Amino acid sequence: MGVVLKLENVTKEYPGVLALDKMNLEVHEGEVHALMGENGAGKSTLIKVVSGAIKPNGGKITYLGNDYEFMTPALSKKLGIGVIYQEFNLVPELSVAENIFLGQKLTNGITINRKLMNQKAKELMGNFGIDLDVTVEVKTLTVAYQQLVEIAKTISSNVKILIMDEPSAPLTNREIDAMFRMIDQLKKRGIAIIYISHRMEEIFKIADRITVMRDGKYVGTKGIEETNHADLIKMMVGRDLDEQFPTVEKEIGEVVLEVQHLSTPQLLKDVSFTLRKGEILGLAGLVGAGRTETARAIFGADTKSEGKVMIKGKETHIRKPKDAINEGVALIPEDRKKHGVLLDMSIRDNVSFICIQNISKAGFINRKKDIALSNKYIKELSIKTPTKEQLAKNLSGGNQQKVVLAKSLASESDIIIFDEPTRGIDVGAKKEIYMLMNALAARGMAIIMISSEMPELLGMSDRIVVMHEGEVMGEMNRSDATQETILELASGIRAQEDKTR
Amino acid sequence: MKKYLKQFSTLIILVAMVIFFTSCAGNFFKINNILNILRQVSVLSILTAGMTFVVISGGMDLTVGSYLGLTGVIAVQLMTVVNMNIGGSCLITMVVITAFGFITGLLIVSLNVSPIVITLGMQTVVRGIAYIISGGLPIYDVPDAIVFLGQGYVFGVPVPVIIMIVIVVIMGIVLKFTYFGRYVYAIGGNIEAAKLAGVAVNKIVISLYAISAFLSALAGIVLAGRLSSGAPASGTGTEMDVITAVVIGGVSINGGKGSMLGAFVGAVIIGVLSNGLTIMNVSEYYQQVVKGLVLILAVAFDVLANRERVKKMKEA
Repeated sequence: MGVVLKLENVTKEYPGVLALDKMNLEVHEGEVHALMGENGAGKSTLIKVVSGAIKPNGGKITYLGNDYEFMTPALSKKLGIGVIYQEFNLVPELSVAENIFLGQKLTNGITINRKLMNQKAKELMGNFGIDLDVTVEVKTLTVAYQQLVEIAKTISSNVKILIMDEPSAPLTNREIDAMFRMIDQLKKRGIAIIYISHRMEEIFKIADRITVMRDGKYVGTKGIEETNHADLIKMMVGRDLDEQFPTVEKEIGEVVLEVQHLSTPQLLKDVSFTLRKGEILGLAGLVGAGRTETARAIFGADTKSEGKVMIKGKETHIRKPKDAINEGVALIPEDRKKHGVLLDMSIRDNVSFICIQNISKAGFINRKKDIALSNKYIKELSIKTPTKEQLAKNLSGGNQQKVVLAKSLASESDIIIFDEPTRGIDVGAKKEIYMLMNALAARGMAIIMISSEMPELLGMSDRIVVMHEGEVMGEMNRSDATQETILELASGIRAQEDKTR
Repeated sequence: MKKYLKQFSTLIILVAMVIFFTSCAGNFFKINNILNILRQVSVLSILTAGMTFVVISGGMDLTVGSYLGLTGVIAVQLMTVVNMNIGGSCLITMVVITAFGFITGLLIVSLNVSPIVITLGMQTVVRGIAYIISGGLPIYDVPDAIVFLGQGYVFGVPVPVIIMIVIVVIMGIVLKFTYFGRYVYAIGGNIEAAKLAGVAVNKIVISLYAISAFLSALAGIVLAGRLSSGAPASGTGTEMDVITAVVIGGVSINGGKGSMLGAFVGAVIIGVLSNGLTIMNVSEYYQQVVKGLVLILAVAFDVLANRERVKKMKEA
């Protein structure tokens, strides 16, 4: 089998961060090559280098025997490198066939040759054993079918290498099987596939070889038969898993937050759960399960259509974030840069931002208190920075997350909702965040942790609530929870069985 | 240090211009001429103080020029035609103009439309009302007290300059040392994060347009005094000078960044430019070209300085 793509010593540097550090990768024709690594390991950066979205600072890219210093989007497309991102690039209002051949000229002189286009699209889908009306609008399809259309669209332009970034994230188990059948077909045609996923069982089902990266560095490449779960985790984390999730002596106390029959106009249906003092409650589910929406509804950022939120036994009337903050609820949002941190402001400005009115007199900020506050939290959360006047945008992801946390802690919250607390944070900083969460819980705070990372959920939560399409599917203690039971609930399988029974 | 680079770059431009004009025209750098320049930019600077808040919050206020016209018309009409006392007339005028700003802000947040569009509409509405009330004609018999506000001197310093300094200092302090100021930066920098931090974003945005209108009314009264008339057409196009000053002063047009001192320096640069060029007998037409070029130059300077900084950070 020939080598399609080879990366040698590829390096990408951002201010203050080495996203890729002499990374290597070798992909063979007709193989499924899994790329693994923790969030923030540099997988997305690597993909962007291959697709030409970013220029590396050093290293060599060899593609079909030709050397390149860097790719451009146009070049990679011409060379037959196709990428399927987590967000689809489909036009919802166009038909399946129109989407597949978007950007390709199937014309009768001037007008589109719709008949030929539909026929070709039908053939293409048929080749993969997918029977689908190619004239329907894409928006009417399920996510899984949209995914298949996306794949068909990408390979319709003579792709030799297909990069799939967490393609299974939004899919149910059954839908994943359909995607795997499509991948098998592609392999038979000699197309190389770079497959990125966090899900171990998928990797062992579909991959031929696995390359692991950590902190932007190449860790190793192994054939699937030479490795196992524990080995891969060790390669990814650089240490054993238990060590990654520190434990702490703590006492779980009385119920402090009670969500009752919470519904929103868009998604949530009758969501109920409780949260106790000192507890870390994991909120599990696939993308679109309604976890973030639940957090936003509790926090007053989105409107509720029904339901109550009780805090410390009292009914609350939270209509806007300010109300939630006054009740002692904090939200550490999923999209740190968009919703959490004030990038153009200093650490000091950020830390005191929520509680700024409390340290002001007649509108004037008390500078001493302001400085003391930021000094306190820089020390307490060990935020790594030369000065408190450093702009937040110049900090690493982990430190930015700490600044967001400091902002909430400074406002004296005792119920903290973490939405994907370690997304985009490197492995070392992750553990620090975990330790902070544990310390907060031990201090008697109550924590809700929304997470899509199975090890994180299983390692950190005292209890786990699983959601699916806006509903709570089940709840379990840490001791009863396994990856399998969570995934089953998250994909709604158990619920469907219950209904048929 | 890096933080001050932006303000520095405007100051450098200002100093360079002063040196240039001093060497070209001997009577440029005289105390009288400097006070003259400050007097000329007083109305502009008062408007710039309000606009700085609006632009830092990520907004834009194109109505300020029309407010000048309407202010002059209402205030002078009340004083001369209605024969109301001067204090009462000014008060009513300011309340009316501030109400327009409040309505503008209310429209922006409730319709969630770009402030440029809303204020563009309001600009025309306000100007139209000024023409309706005045019948299109300026009124000249402005009371002495108002003329004093525009043309008088206290201890050798022009009154409008004193008003300007008071306003710029107050607004600068509010922007820098109060939590209100910090909210304004946050709204321009990351409105979603500000909302989630419990900031009453809508209320603040509305208040900013009201403040801008209030300052426009104040500037309008000073202008009426300086021109000794209340004319519906006065202040036409001034909003563009104000925006130019703010941008030259290093305030980010995308919001979230900038300072009152920088914006003030921007306004002074515009004053120095037209004064210096006039002394050198450069025609009004050429002055416009130069003004535009300076704006582009200032922005280019800033972008290049930023690029250099990013490069250095990458190398580090």
